[in-house]
Amino acid sequence: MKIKGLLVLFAFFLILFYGEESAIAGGENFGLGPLEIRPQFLVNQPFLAMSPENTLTLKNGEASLSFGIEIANTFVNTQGPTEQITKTEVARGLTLADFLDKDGNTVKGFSLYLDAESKRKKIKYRYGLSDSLEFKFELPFISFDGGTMDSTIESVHSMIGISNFKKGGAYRALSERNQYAYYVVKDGEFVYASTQQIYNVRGEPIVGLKWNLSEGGKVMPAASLKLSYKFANTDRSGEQQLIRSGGVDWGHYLILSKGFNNWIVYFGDGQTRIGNNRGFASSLSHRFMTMEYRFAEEDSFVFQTVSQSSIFPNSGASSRSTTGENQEQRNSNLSTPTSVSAFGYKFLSGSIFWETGFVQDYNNFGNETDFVFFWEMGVSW
Amino acid sequence: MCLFSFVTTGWCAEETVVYLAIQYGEQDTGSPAPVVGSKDSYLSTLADTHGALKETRQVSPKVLSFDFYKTTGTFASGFGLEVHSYNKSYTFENDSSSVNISAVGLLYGLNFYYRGDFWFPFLGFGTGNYSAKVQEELVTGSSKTYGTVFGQVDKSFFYKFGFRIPFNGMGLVFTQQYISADLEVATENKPLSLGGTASFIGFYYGF
Repeated sequence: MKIKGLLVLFAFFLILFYGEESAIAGGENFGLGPLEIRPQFLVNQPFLAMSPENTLTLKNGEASLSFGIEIANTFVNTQGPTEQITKTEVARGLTLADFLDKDGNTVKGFSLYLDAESKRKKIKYRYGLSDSLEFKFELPFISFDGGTMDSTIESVHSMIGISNFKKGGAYRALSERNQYAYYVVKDGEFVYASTQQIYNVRGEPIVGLKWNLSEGGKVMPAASLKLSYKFANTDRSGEQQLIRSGGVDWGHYLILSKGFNNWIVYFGDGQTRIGNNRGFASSLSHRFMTMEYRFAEEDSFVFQTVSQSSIFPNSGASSRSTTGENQEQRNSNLSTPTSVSAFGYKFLSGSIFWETGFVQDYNNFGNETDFVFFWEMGVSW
Repeated sequence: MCLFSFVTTGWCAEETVVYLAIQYGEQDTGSPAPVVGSKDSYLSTLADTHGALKETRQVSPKVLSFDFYKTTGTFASGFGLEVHSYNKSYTFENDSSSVNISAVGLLYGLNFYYRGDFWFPFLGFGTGNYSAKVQEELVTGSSKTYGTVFGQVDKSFFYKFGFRIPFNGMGLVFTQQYISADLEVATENKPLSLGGTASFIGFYYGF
């Protein structure tokens, strides 16, 4: 019924505007593109995650090489409301007993204590196989450490009236700043328990194809199909298990773009299939909307919103309790889909391009990063 | 007509117009959007146990919107971004059970204008997401259960029509909007409509 309704509306608008313009006008629906930032949540890092991308492809024989870095601050303390995990417990090292509920019972589903900054560096190479088909290769190098952003984030929270002792501030005030801890518990058992910082661990390589199906026109949007494939590296010894899933993942994004003079709008809908999910979600759905304002041919301001399903699948956690709000009930919300918004700037002049931006979550569901900064720059020829 | 686009544009050529608007109105979350909506059952399931709802399903959202249009002759096509927010508390006839719902919607989509002499009718459709918090306090005999469910509707859909009445660079905007956004509430595993049928009136500023 929904599809039928959409088709009826779409047909109506086509009829309405058909007489106005029908010629294909190549280029008017292309801009510098969305911000190419993937989900940075710690638990997502070993898996493929589809990122927004331009509908435009490199032309036949063109190539580009770029380097990027994404710095994300993540802090989640599911034991924060009961103050079961504070700086004291973290200093002595967390045990499974810290993840029981306040009455000493095992909690069904997931419980988290995540305090880290991730730095995902990436080398990206693109090549135009034809005028509408592009190949991509990407190799990430990932670090997890205590970082430096905690005090800034807490100051920003305070400035806008969010208490760092409460849920809105993620109970950050209970913990030391700029420390590293990565604990994930499922049904009373550790999935991950690490305080060992890691630097520049090579992630699993990703290849992709992007096919520009249509350049669109005055009425129709440009459309591209993006496919990505993550290779498996089964060497997951030690802390490498936090970076590599050891399984093959693949995903797709259908991306549309439509130009309105200086404004370009992008919309994408896609999915990631996770080959070896290690007890987490077996697929992730993604959706994005981007508004690009072109100051000039060379540079743009970009606003973007991205929604994504949670890496935590629905668990046996009960969403109701008879004793007031409890931990299991709260943690059941970790499986909720979430959204982030992003702002950025893109620049392209001759053979040089770069983009930079900032991502902020706004749902506080405990399954998303807090602040993310990212840069990418490269050359094309 | 060119007077309206006092800052940057004239109607006489292909230009871009940007509108900022704030709107208020009523939204009947119990009235599904024709064609795309369906009847929800979360609150009616609770009502089977706790008695009929004392309140209507009407909510009063605040809507902030940002639109831009490319004008070509008498027609304009563009894109809009809207933020909807509302809160609503429900109680029941048979006991002191209550449900509080707070919802924020971020909707975006395509809009199409016809630019008349005195009013500018428009049509639009699109998608977006709703984030919601549902808090339950349910009484059953002498016991009470609590539930707080966060949720997000990723696959919402809306369509709307309305008109603007311009007075130089600003004016009034009237919108009739139909939104399909059903949240699956985990406590009952039943859908709750966050959208429905809405009527809004507000002010806009164009530049």
